[in-house]
Amino acid sequence: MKDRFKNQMNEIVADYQAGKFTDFNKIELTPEVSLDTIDESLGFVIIHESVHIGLAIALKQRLG
Amino acid sequence: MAVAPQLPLAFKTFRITRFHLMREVEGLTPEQMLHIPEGRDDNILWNVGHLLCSLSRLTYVFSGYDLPIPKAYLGLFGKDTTATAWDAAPDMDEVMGHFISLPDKIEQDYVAGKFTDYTSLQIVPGDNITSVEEAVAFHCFHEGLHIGKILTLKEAMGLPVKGG
Repeated sequence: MKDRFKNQMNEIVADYQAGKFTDFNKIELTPEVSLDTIDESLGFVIIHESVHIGLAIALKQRLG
Repeated sequence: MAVAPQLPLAFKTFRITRFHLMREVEGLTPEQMLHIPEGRDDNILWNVGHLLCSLSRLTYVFSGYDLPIPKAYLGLFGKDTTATAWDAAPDMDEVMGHFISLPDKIEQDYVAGKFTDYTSLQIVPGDNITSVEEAVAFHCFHEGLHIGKILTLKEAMGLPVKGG
């Protein structure tokens, strides 16, 4: 799972550079917020991942 | 989520990030904003103030401008500060006012062409922030990280979280 996690980013970058993400289905996160392109989706991935880094840091602190 | 068309993608990502943060903190009482759970040295207000200081420095200071918020905030919320070290609670309304207004100010100043010079800032070896656009993109990551910390502070108080 760790390997898949580590490799996933490289695969996405390679596929992005290969032009694979041409059609993107708009994602409505909330009625006020939507992701309209793959670029916006990747931006959201960063937010989502950083939230979980924050959660992981707090869990590590709890464990001492 | 409307962002002026002349703004780069990082600004929309930032608006989405801020939307998620605000829906976690809106409606909290002053006591909830200031509560420090056992084993922690931060509270929700410290996380908000920390993001305010960081964004102010990343955008204005590294672009050659004065800090757009009270300098005293750096001693309360800056790097290596803690909420447990506060002598008194900061003025919450004032901090939140700056926090809410800063994104609009940055967008307006960006559109006005104010962010032309940027002093390169090293984040990790080999990776620098070289423009205000990259600074805003990096801030989204930083703000997300503190949303995570805010979620754990809310959970420690038994408060419901909206989540990601």
